[in-house]
Amino acid sequence: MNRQLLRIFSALLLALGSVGLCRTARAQSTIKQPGERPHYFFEAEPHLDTGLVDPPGFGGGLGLGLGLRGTIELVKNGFIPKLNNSIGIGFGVDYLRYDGWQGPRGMCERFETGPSGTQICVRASSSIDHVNYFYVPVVMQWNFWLHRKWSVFGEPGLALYVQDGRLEFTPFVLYVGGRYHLTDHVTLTLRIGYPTFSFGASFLL
Amino acid sequence: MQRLFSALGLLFLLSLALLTGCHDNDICKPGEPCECSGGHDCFVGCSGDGCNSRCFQMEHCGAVCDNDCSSQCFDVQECSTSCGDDCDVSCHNAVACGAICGARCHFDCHDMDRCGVRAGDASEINCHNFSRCDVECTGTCHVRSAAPDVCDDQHGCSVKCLGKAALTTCGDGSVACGGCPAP
Repeated sequence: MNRQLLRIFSALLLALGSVGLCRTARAQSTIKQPGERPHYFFEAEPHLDTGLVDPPGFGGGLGLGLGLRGTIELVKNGFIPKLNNSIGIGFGVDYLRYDGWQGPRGMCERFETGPSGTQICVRASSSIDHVNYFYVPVVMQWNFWLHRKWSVFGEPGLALYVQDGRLEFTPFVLYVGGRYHLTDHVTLTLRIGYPTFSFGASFLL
Repeated sequence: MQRLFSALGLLFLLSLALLTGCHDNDICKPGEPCECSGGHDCFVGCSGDGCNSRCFQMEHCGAVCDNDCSSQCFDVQECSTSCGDDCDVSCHNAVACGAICGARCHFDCHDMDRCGVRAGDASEINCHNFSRCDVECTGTCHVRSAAPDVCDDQHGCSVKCLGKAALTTCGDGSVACGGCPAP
């Protein structure tokens, strides 16, 4: 189920990406004009989340939820001086409910008292119905302002997450995404990566 | 511009590689090792013969499996195994280890506060370096003890023969339900 969804989603993304890039190439580009972009200091981005791949920890299956990302622009001209790129730091919180529990872990449904007062599980559940995740990602957002209507970004980072009530840490999250600029300060934003995909709106404040 | 698209393409490919590199749910299947580690509770349920489970660094962990099951548990507060015939249960470095197993069960428990097992016919039980080792045999069984070397109530070791086999003290200090094994 997951892989099928993933294939469909990847194909859609590729198609959308190529359409966007072709149109961008045809139209006037801003990528070689550093600073030619909406001016903002904070990007607020509410979004819907989906977890199409197994998350870190023990969750599995399909995850659905919502979240909020906030990004502060730190460097107006990024690592490549000749290009219209910028660097920000992003913080977020995402809630997803996954419909599977990965691995052999299960709960004990019935214990019996054995010798020495030991509690022996005699019936274990093979799976758990669902598991709730809260992610708190912290990422470096590297933006490329391709066109007045389009920008893209890469986001390497790390994340704290709470799964099944336990706080855990993953040293690696990675997203790539794109924005379609409805206006100078409002965009539709799509993000794919690990561990979540998201789609929402960005408000460049 | 070309360099930019190359970099973006690389990022995209990297993320795709990450996605395809993730595997589907690992379920505990017979003949394949499965393990739990880190966290609070984990109870492996494995249907079919020949399951192989391993628990470590948890609070409560256990396996529920059928025949010919191998279960290892260590660095856990409380280990638990419930299995059919021909099981191999090994627990060490925990607070308590309990098992209910069928015929021809091999139960090995060491460096443990409490070892407890209810075993079926023709089972072999070994307890080493424990505070308590309590064994209940539903048929014949042989119980070896080390540190303390003698298996009796005074040394925190008890064997109950729940079936028709009689409790026997063997020459080497071990205890059996039914006859002692040939030296």
